[in-house]
Amino acid sequence: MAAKMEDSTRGSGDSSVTSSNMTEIPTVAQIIERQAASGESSAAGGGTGPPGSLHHPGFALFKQGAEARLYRGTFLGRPTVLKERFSKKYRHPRLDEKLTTKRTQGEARTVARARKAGIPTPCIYFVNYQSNCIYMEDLRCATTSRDYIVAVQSVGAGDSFRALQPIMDKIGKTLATMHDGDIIHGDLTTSNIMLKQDASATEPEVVLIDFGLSSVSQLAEDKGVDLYVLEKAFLSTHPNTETLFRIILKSYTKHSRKSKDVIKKLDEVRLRGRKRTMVG
Amino acid sequence: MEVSTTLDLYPDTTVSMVLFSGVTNGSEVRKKIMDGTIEAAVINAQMICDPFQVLVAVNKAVHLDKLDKKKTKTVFGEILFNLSPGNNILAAYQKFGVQDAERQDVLVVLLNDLQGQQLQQVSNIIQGTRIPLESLRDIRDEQQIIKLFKISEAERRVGRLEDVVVCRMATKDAG
Repeated sequence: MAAKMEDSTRGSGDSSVTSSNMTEIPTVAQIIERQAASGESSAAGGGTGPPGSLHHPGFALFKQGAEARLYRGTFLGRPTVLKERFSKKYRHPRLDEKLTTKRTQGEARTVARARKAGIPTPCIYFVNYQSNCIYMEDLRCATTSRDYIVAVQSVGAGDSFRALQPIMDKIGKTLATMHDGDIIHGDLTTSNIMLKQDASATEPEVVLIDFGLSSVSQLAEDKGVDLYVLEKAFLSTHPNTETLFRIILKSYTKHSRKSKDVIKKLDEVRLRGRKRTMVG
Repeated sequence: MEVSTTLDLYPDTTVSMVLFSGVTNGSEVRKKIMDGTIEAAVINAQMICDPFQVLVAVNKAVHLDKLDKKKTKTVFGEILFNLSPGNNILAAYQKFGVQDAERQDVLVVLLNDLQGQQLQQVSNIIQGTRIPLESLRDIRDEQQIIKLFKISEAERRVGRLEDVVVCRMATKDAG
């Protein structure tokens, strides 16, 4: 890439056109910058969360999921994401308490395990087991692979495949390392696979987030299902990306020591899917 | 040279950190901590990557103190315990507390020393030179830290050393 890093809209330097060029494929760094420039709401919001949530001064709600709420704020000087698991009122209170704490604990434990195996994840700063809150690193200079794939595909250029291939390669490699460490993510989607690239990095880095449904398992079946979940999420979110997903699998096979059985199980699970008859 | 921060989650708690270099009376300092004269966490500066790491340990110590769920007797002991990768309190004090060495660098952590009185008292006892907190990064003994925390090559590559250590500290009791 040529110079012109000061120009916030272009990184390629071959065009002097400042308006968006329809056939220019964006890099990960460009998407990250674009999102930072437009979408960033102020991190310190204060104010009360939705009814039933704990008050978190200095933190602003930015996502509400089925199990947890996500807030952004500052913690000990660092940009932080707060994941607060809340109780489900339909559950028996004692069971609810146990379950929620167990999930929080499990997530912290798996993140620790993933990092030991060399998988990049956000750094956890503090876990409050009373309120089931996890305070973790707010990934700066990152975007979801989902957003990046969408951005590249929306440009409509013919060679989007070429731009995405190295990313798919990296994803496959990361998943291979994860499964070789017997870690099952449990909720693999392109929104949970982040791409991080700060100013000093020449290439984006794959970072996995949301280990809320993760577990530990040596079974090829569990790893196969993990990949199947990703495949389904991938193909439904990003139409016509079968080739891209195949690159992920190819890279996974190349980098994993135990891939043969896993891919075999993946094939079996695919056959087992919805509206499929299992005869024989 | 004294850096004060308020804990975001416990705004009634102010944390002060001061770095002393070339401390010659380590044993005396330890005695004064044990008999209660010094109410502070006096930390072996070589074992600290970054002030953030200390703040994380303090935050957790204060959190557990408020819930009365500390593993150690005092909030300062708890800070040392939180800094350590293991669950053995004595080992934590030995590795992260003030050493018996002839010369050492220590990081002193005080809580709610708003008038600076505690710092004054501690400075009178500690025989060493106050240096800027930023020097902590030069003092840290990376090899020793990596060895104690048993950080593998793979884990080391995930991020900065202080982040690797902080994450370990935060997830220590997750099982």
